[in-house]
Amino acid sequence: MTAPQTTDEIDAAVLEYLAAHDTGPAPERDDDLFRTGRVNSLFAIQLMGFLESTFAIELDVDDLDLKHFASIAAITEFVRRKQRAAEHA
Amino acid sequence: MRHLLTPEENEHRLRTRKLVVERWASEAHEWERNPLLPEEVVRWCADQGLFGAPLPTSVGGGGWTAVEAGLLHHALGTVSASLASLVNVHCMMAAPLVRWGTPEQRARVLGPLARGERVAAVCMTESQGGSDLSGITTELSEKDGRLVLNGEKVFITFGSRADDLLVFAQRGGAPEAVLVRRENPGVRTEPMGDTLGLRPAGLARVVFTDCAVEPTALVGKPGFAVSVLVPTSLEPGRHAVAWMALGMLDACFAEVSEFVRSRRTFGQVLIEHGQVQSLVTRMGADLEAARHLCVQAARAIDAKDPAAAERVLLAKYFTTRVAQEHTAAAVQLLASRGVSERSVAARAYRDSKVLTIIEGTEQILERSLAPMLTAGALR
Repeated sequence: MTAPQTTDEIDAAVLEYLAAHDTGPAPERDDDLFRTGRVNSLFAIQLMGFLESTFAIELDVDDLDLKHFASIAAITEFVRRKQRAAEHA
Repeated sequence: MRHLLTPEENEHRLRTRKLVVERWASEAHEWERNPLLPEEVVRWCADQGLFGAPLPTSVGGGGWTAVEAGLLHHALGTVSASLASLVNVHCMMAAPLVRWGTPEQRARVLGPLARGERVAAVCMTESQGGSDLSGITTELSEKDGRLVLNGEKVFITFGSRADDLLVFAQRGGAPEAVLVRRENPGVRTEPMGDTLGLRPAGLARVVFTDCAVEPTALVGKPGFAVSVLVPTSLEPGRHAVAWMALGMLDACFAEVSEFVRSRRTFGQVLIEHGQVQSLVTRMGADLEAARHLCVQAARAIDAKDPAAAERVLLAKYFTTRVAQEHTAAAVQLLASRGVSERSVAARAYRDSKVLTIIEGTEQILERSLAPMLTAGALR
């Protein structure tokens, strides 16, 4: 199985994951996930685990930065950057 | 247990059980009289490679799978929950470093831990902050141009013995985690005194007084200690507690089974009495259910399944709860024999109660499990 690669694919997978953990209306791509309460600090570790297993990336200590997880757009950009870094490693 | 394992895993189970049980089962009841396991036991665990076995090979560990690590805790728990806790808190301290440590920290700290040259413990609980770690007051601050730690941790498992500590603190209100060595003159420990269970587990009060720490001792990033490092430590911790409770219950069930099939009352073997049949059937059925949950949790961890955290919660919740219920029934069934300190059941009865509290109380786990289970029912 290949991990989702394009922006649209990653957006869709993240949106689906967030929707499965929340009963509210689906977030917009640029909604602030912290301010809307969709992602809190206790959910952060679960989200990280999901990103690692779904997109075949590995997070390390330098990735511990809430701005990577602030919106779907930010998450997707972060995932693409990690995937590109892994390809060139 | 065998029917849930691959042939290789079952070999591992038999080998580990033989190693631990043959060496210590006959002595474990004597450990209960002292506040700390004999040093000989700690050295034996190091010599057998048990401290490093569950750690990844990348840091010099044995690279055991979660199933293999679970079976180790089962074997250790069969003998003593305190013995299992020695290995567990060591690995709970190592886990956040394995995951979030810098390469320098991994090399400096995890090598000696993987080889069992140094023993580790985790300092989370305070008198006003246990389940709710936002309440911790141990503080990191700058004093005379140095970082210093001040505060007091309580009920630290093997705090009386550990060489390396991972201490959760706050710095200006943001949670941080910091490595502290016992040799640090700013560290003092004292035994917690007599406790209901985990008696020889070196439970200690750990006091930090202007304890100087280097910036390289900080683990993770500021602000992530409670949200990311704590769960990274608690997940293997809860997994291990589930398996050690399973080992205790297995040992009790064996002790009870032998007794009810041989002891006679009122002209019948005990197991011919309906009331005894109810107690042992409930015990055996819950034991079997707990085995399934523990094996599933371990397999989810090994598969890097995102649902692993939930599986671990469920295994810890169920296994410790039924262990508590049925170790009480085991004492009841064994009667005077169960009251004796020489029985497995007496020790398991005390320790199983403590296992429903450590690494997340039943009530804290329910806060996660209730929404999770009900959401699952509606998917």
